[in-house]
Amino acid sequence: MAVEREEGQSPGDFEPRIVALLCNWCSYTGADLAGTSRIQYPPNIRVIRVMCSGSVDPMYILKAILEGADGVLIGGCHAGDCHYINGNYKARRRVAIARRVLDQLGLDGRRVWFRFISASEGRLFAETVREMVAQLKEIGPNPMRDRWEL
Amino acid sequence: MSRFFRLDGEGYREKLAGWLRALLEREIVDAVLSPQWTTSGRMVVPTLVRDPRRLTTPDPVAPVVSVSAATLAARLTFNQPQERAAVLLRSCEVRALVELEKLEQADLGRLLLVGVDCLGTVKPAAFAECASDEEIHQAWWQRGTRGEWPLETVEPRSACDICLYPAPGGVDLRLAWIGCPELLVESVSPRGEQAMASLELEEVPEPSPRAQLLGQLAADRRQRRERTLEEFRARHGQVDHLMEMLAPCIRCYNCRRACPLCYCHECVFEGPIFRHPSQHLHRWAARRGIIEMPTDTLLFHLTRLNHMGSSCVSCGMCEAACPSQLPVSLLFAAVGETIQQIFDYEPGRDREEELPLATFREEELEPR
Repeated sequence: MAVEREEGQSPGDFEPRIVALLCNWCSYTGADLAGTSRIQYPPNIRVIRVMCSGSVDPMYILKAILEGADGVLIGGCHAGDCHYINGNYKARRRVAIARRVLDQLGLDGRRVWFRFISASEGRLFAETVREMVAQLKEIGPNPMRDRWEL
Repeated sequence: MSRFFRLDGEGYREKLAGWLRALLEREIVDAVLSPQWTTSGRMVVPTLVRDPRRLTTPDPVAPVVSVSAATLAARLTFNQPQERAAVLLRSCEVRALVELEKLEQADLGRLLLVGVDCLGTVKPAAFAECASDEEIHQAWWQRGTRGEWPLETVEPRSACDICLYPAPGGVDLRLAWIGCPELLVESVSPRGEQAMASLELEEVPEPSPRAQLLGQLAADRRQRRERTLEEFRARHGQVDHLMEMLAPCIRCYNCRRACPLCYCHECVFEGPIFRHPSQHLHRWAARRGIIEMPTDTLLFHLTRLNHMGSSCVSCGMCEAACPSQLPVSLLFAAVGETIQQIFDYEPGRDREEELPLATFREEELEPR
């Protein structure tokens, strides 16, 4: 889960780095489709394939944020489509809690996104990444990037 | 419909001892879980009693908690409980036990829940210092019945200071003394009624100052809680202040061990995931130039907030157990409350209410 620092980056041209935790059955396949369909999207995203969005413990989201990732995207199947019946609903609640915790402690919950993206929605995946990059550019760099304490 | 009963005996301890003994002797329960004075008379500790003759000095009024009775009551129900036990619980302990039941860590089927009025408690060490002083001893009953904090020299734990429930709800019976001239038993559920039925105690009307006093206490506490949590949020709503607050953490994990709700046998933070290989530590140190050791302290606290915040009953056992005296119970109260608001959930309020993390709807929380 280490987020590598990019070389030669100045504060002026801030390029957010996003850790994406995508479900194997829908969102990861959707991201793959975006690639095979040659749909362009910003290269700010680092994808980690997980078996289900419901397997994403909030700890993984927090770890990424505390390590300095500017955003975390969790992608799951649409309502009713979860391969494991209800993992996506569980993820939605967990993300709502994680965002609230981050908000309360000054870490900006808007850095964490949860989206339903199906295997056929390569275009939606690309669009989501574009939107997220735009919003993160507005929010600015994650203040945890330069902190070493705790 | 609640009914009040007068107990036989002199002081509140004799009254209580007599009543608890009767519960055992009449075989209404097989065992009693109650705080009692130790032989030295310097400390009050939880005891499990089956022999009525050993019920000599029960005292759930003494303002001290060493281990949450919710944890202990849950242990009494582990693995197909056969025995019926009356368990004496303060309101935070009742709420924690209800959460434990929802988490499938307790079985309330064979427990007689006896709630106890509580105005707050102090840490065991602070209690031991003043407990043998006879004057203080006398005073806390009298001040307590007037709804005043019973100890002059020691402040209550911060969680108690902002507790909204001096009289516990969701119980079968209640040991009532706030606003009462003497210790009374109040039956509040059919199971409680049944337990009291054969004891032939004198029924009395609700003491007139009680309802008003409890109402006043709840209103004062609510105001204080809102103010305290607001101040806390304002101060620690920035990550710098949060890190400053948590910096003295020594990673002993006492908070999670003392928490009645943290039920994992092995916390993920104490397992192999966080036993990092040396090359990982060096790589992380190389990336930033520096890392704090041990790693992941902030991650531990924030993860615990995510895992437990929706069920936190604000009992403050975490803070009482913290050797660095971090205000963790305020952190959990302040953040936990905002998590619970998402699901309109109040931990321990109702046994039928669904646990936020174990339930979900097809349509909710939109937009994401």
